[in-house]
Order: sequence, then structure tokens, then C-alpha cells
Amino acid sequence: MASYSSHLLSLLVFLPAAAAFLGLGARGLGLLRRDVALWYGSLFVTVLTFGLGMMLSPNSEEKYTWIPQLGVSYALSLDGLSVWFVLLTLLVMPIALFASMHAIRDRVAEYCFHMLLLETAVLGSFLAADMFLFYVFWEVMLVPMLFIIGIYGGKERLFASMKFVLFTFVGSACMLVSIMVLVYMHKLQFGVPSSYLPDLLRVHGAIIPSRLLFSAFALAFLIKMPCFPLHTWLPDAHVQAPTAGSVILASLLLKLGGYGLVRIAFPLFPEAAHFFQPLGMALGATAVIYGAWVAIVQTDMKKLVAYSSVSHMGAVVLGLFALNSIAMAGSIAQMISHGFATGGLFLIVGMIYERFHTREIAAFGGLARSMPKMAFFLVLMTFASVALPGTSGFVGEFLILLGAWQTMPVYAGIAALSAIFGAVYMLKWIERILYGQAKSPSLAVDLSHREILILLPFTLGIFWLGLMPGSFFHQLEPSILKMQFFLTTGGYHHG
Amino acid sequence: MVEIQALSIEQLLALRPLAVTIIAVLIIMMLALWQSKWPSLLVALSASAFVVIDSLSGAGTVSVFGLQFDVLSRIVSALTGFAAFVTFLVSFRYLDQKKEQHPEYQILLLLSLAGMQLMNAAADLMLLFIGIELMSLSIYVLVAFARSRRACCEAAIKYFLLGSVASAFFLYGMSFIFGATGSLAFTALAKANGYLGYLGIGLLTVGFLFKMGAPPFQMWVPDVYEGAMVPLTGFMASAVKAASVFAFVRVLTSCTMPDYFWDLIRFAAIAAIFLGNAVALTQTRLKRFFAYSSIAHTGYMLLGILGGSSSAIIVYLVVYSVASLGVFSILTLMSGPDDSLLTSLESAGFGRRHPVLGGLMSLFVLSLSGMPPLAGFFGKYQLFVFLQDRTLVLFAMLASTLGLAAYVRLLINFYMKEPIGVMSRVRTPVGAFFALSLVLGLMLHMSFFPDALIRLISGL
Repeated sequence: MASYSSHLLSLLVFLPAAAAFLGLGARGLGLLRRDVALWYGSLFVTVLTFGLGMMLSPNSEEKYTWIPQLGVSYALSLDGLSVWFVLLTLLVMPIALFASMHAIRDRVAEYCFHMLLLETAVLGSFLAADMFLFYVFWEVMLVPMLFIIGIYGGKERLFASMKFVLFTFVGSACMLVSIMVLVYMHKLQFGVPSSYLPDLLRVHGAIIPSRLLFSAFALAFLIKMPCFPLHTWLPDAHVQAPTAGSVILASLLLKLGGYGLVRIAFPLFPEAAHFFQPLGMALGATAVIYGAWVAIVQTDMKKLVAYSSVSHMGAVVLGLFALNSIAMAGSIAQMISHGFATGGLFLIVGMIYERFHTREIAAFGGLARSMPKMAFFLVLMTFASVALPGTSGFVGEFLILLGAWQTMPVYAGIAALSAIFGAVYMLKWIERILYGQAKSPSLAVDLSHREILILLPFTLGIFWLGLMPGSFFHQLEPSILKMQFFLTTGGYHHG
Repeated sequence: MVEIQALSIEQLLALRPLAVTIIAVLIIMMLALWQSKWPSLLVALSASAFVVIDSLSGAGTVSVFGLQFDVLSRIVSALTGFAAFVTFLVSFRYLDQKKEQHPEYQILLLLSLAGMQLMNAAADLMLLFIGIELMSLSIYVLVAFARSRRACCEAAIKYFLLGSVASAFFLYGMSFIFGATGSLAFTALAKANGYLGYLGIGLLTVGFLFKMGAPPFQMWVPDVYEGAMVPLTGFMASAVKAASVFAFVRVLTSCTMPDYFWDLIRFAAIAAIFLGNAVALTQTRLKRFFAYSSIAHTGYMLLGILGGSSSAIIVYLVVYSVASLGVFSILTLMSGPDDSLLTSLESAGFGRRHPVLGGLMSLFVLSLSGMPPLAGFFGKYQLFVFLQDRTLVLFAMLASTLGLAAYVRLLINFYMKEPIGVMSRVRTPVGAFFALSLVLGLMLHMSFFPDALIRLISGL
């Protein structure tokens, strides 16, 4: 069993992809039976990967040489930081698949293929410890997402998918150049090229190039997050994507931006991180307020949730650039919490849309009376989203503000206003659709058991992180301390 | 000048692939008397397969008759042989459909293959010129092969007229180099460092840029690609381009040029990448689309030349050619009897109607766009990673965003647009199936084990 457990990470990453290609070959059964087999097969695979994920030991690594001539290795590593994102991915994927079973009727085989491929890409990005490998997974993610938005999306889906791909790619192109420079610098300083992240951490950089390289990485990650003013692709993508696509986008893909900053950009360029700190915090605080303000005037529910994402991700950027351990831990908690709460909100919006075939806020009213279960979950997710104490959102937001206050009180103060604005747009929204005069009551059928089952994991997650964050921070602590070491000493070569 | 001297067995054996190609041509000429299409196909296939296998199994550097066979030249020969092999297989039924099944097709294609082998191995400008002309003249005729079609003849005449001018430039350049150094051997090129010599090499460069289809001499590419028969376009996009680029690399690595010359190459590279990608974005005909995309790829190869690593360029050539061969093989299969389905309107929904061919097409297209983990990404990565001029790399990467947009548009067309009308069933003949599996296998192998290719090139 030793060899089996030592390849657990690879197994985890490539099991969905293998299943994806297996599913493509599924022909011959009757069309209906084939679809059923595909749905349950994919669901089984994602649940199986989740089960495998539960067996992971938090500090494991796999490393093999891949392309020795260019110093590229195949390295996956799991630590207290990545483990949470990996678990989030493993949790979200089966939910997303389960949730789309009713909505996606056409071209099921391709859908399952792209979803499973996406899981491999996302898991790979969270686990990769080699920059070449990271870039491979990071880019692979684009293709299935392009197809999920472009095939199964709304009216403007082609535009939205193209915009998504191009925005992300411009960032990644800059990042790739940066990676190449790092590999080359490693060759100059150590004689051999290497793109293994721990090797690259030892590269000395002159101040100006390292600031440039940092900006290239930051550009890629801030576009992905997305941070104001690079966020314009997000509302389009969210509104056009099918429900499951929005959930994955919000809960997983956006997290990669923040994760990349913490895992790659900050440790590689601590000096540059400090240099750009004021800019980063200003952008974060602006995004918090901007996202909230824009969300207030939205009439489309999905757009509202999308802009609330922009606001929340602004808070994450603020916390990360505060560059102290409290705010950083808060940002990571906020990302996980956002994965639960916003994922849940998108699911609920999708469920409402399946019943009413509209997302206009004005078309709803009095849903609390006809759909009490839905109202319960919606209120709960909203509370988590506006950071009510006791929910996961509070933990993250509180720590972010606390940490940011220590570095730059002004921005923390500005961002704290978001508590008010957030309450305004969220509460206004649920007040309008849940209470008041009922509109089109005949369509208002309450949640089925299946739908409750879909929402349950996110609900539990919100309470788990909100009430018992101890285990979360306990796992996270060593990684945060290591990061703190990099940021205060300027990395290995100065320390 | 070539001196006659006693030949060793080793030197004679180095000429095997070239000799086999020429003998195959003669055999097919004789077989033509019986007017039976299968034997000539078999001969052509075995000859090109022999070129591939023999080139790959050779080792060391052998010089004979002003030819120099080394690891790099053998790999490019193998690549061109492979392209010919795939083209023979794929075009067989296509020619039947078009009622153009004549033995001359195989003869001319093999002759151009012989020309390419001469080009790859030439260590002397005169032999290089003979190689280029042998290749080009065969291709001119092949472009006009479907002589009943206007587009073919028009393309052939354009290609021929412009190509002859390019050859004239080339010859004129050779004369200057001879004037400056008194020799046409590559070893003498390093001595061509006066203005006379620079002028000569500059004129040679004009000829090469034309053959490669790089700006400012790229005008013929879209028209000729559009007019030629589909499988032949694939051959031109892969083998002809690979042989021309490699010959250019061989010439440039032998001479020492001033900085302003490299600035010109840089200009050509930037123009090619930008123009190719940007114009590809606006195309509605698939063959024109791939013509512009091939111009953009020439630009990346020129960047590789600026980087100065021959092996990186060879890797890029192999990766690019294999993906192009795949793309054009599928285009050949999907083009109906009247070359229909080759516009974006007619090919809408292609991926839905033909899941397997469509899936393969997307793989090849994504590889061309440089999407990891496919081989195209690796080609670009290793071309750029040691290139000193970082702003140039950044530019190239940003310009490839345009390229990505173009390729994504193609995928959107294949998968997200509703098919118009009834698309005929595509039946894949056994030969074409075999060829496609070879191309696919090669591409996947290069994607996941790129170190094997590098090891092959570094001669280990």
C-alpha cells in the first residue's frame, strides 16, 4: 500500500481526467440511459475523489523529473494552506454536478467531460509545486470553462466565454514571461535551469526586475480574482454561465488568484510585495466599496451576486496586501467562506431561475410564504455573505479588518464601510424577493429534497468555519508563519 | 568547390535516403505504364517511410559531395519524410474523389522530398539552391495539379512568378557572396563580412523569407494555400516550411552579421506574429485562416532564430509541423467532393456532427495556439525561455493572445454554432485513419514526454 499512498496526490488530480476521457467513449447505450450513466458515473468519480481527499495527510509531496533539459519537474505538494482549497474543490465539484443534473438536458457527455477535466485542472493548480506544471494546469482550466460557458450558457454566452478566455490569457501570458525569466535567472545563478518553486525561492533578484516580475504575476492573479479594475469579465461570465459554471467560477476559480498571490507571488518577491503594498491595499479597498455600490443598483440577481463577489474579493486583496499574519489568515478564511456562501447563493439563484425563468428582482415578491425552505437557506447564505457573527463570513472579514488596521488604518476604515453597504444590497435584495406582495405564486414551489441536499454541505461549511474556526487556523498556522518569515526577512537569501 | 575524392562506404551510405527517394521516383514512372494506382502508392509510402526510419537511425556527422549530414539535418529530413508519408495516405481518396489520381502526384511529391533532403544537408550554396529549386518546381506543378480548377491555376501562376523572382534574388545574392569570398561553401560565409558579403547574404535572406512566407514577402501565402488542393496545403505548411526555415538557420549560423541585420529579422518576426494572428482573426475561410496562422508561426520561428538555439527551433518546427499535418489531414477528410465545408459558415457545428474528427481537430488547433499541456505550448516555452530579449518575448506572448482569440473563434464555430443544412457523413478511409493516429500519437508523445525529442536532437 505504500506505493499507492505515495501517489495519492497524482491519483487525486488525474482520476477525474481519466474518468472524463472514459466517459467520452461511452456510446452504444440508449441516449437516455447513457445520460443517466454519465451523470451518476461522474458524480461517483467526484465523490470518490472527495473520499480520497479525506485520506490525504496534510504534508505530502511527490516529485519526479519531467523535462530535465529545462529543469522542469512534476511536483505536487500539499500543506496546511493548499489542503483547504483542495478540500473546497473536492466538495464543490460533486455539488456542481449534482445541481446541474436537471438543468442540463442536452449534450450531457460533453458537459461531464468538461466538468471532470476542470476538476483535474483546478486540483492540479492548487497542488502544483513547479511553476511550469502550475502554468500548465492554470491554462488547461480555460478550455473546459470556455466550453461550459459557451455551450450551456445564456444568450450572450459566446461573447462572455471569449471575454473570459482573453482576459485570463493576457494575465497568464505576462505570468509565463515572468516564469521564464525566473527559470533563466536560476540558470545564471546556479548553473542549471529549474522551475521547481522551492528552488526559485532561492533566486536573488535585483530590485527593479523583481518588481516587474512581481507585477506580471500580480496581474495574472488579480485578473483571475478578479480585482477592480480588472474585474469586468466576471459579471459577463457569471450572468451567462449555467448555474454550475457560476458556482465553480465563484467558489474555485476566483480562489486561484488569491491562492497564487499567497503561494507564489509574495514568497518569491517579498521586497516587491512591500513596495506595492499601498497600491494593493488601495485597490482592495476600492474594490470593496465599488463592488458593493454597483451591487446595490443591480436588477438581475446573478449580477448582484457577481458584484458582491467583486466586493468580497476586494476584501481578500486588502487582507493579503496587509502582509501580516492576521489579515492573511483572514483573507484565506474569507476565500473559503466566499466559496461556501457565494456558491450557495448562485445555487439558490439557479433554483429560482429554474422555476420562474427570470432573474429580475422586480419579478419576485413574497417568496418567504410560498417557499419557506428556500427562504431559510437564502437568508442563511446572505448572512454569511454580509459577515454576521457566527457565520464563516464574520471570521474572515473581522480578521482582515483587524490586520489591515495594523498596517494602514485608512484603508481598513474604508473597507469597514462595506459592512454597511453589504447589508444594504443584500438585505434590500432578500427583503424585496422574500417579503411583500406575492407575484406569480403558481410557480413558487418550495425546494425538493434533492435541492436541500445540494445546499446542505455549504450550510454546514458556513457554520463549521463560523463557529469552530480553530481546526482551520490550526492547519493554516505553519504556512502563515512560513509566509511571515519570507515577508519579514525577504526570503532565504537575505535571512 | 567540390573535389572528387575516394568515397568511403560510410559516406555512400549517408546518401541512402536521397538515393531511395530518387529510385522510388523512377520506379513509379515505370509503374505508370500499367495505370494502376496501388503499386505506386505503396512505393511512395515505403520510400518516405524509409527516409524517416533511416534518418532517425543515423548517427554522427558525415560529409559527402558538399552535403553535410548531421543530427539536426537528419531530424528535419525525417520530419519532411513523415509529412510526405502522411500526405500520401491522406490524399489517396481525396485524389480519387477529385478524379485527379495520377502517378505524377507521387512523383512530384517525392521529388520535392528529395529537394528538401538536399536543402537540409547542403553545406554549399549551389547545392542548397538546387535543393530549393527541386522542391519549389515540384510544388509549383503540384499546386496546379487540379488543372481544371481556376483557383488552382491562378495560385500556381502566382506562386511560380513570385517564386522565380525570389529565386533570382537568391542567385543574385550568391553571386555577391562568390564575389566577396571566392567560394560558395558555407564555411566561406563567415568571411563574407564586407558590404559585398552583407549585400549577398541580405539578398539570400529575401529569398528565404519568401520561401518561409514571412513578412514583407508573405503575400503569396493565403492565395496559394487557398488555391492548392487541401492535402498539398498541409504538405506546404509543414514540410516546405520546415525545410526552408531549417536551411535559413543553417545559412545564418554559418555567417556573422552586423546588428542592423538582426534588427531586420526582428522586424520581420514581429510583423509576422502580429499580422498573422490579427488577420487570422478576421478570416472566414478555413484554409486562409490556417495560412495566416502559419505566417504567425513563421514569426515565432524567426524569434527562435534570434534566440540562436538551433535545437529549440527544430523542436518548434517538429511540434508545429505535426499539428499542421493533423489539421490539414482532417480538413482533407471533411472537404467534400467540391472542397466545400471549408468556410466558417459551412463548418459550423462540425465538432457536434463528427465528434471524433472534431475532437482531434480541436486538439491540433489548441496545440497550434500553444495551449498547455499540448506540444505547441512546450515548443513556445523552450523557444522563449532562453531568449534574452524579454520585451520581445512579452510582445510575442501578448500577440499570441490575438492568436488564441482566432483559434478560440474556430472552436466556437465548431462547437457552439448551430450546424446549417445537412452535413454529409465523413467516412475515414483506413489509410487516413492510420495517418491520423500516427500524427496524434506523435503529438501526444511530444506533449507528455517532451524530453525525448530534446534528447533525440541533442544526439544522445
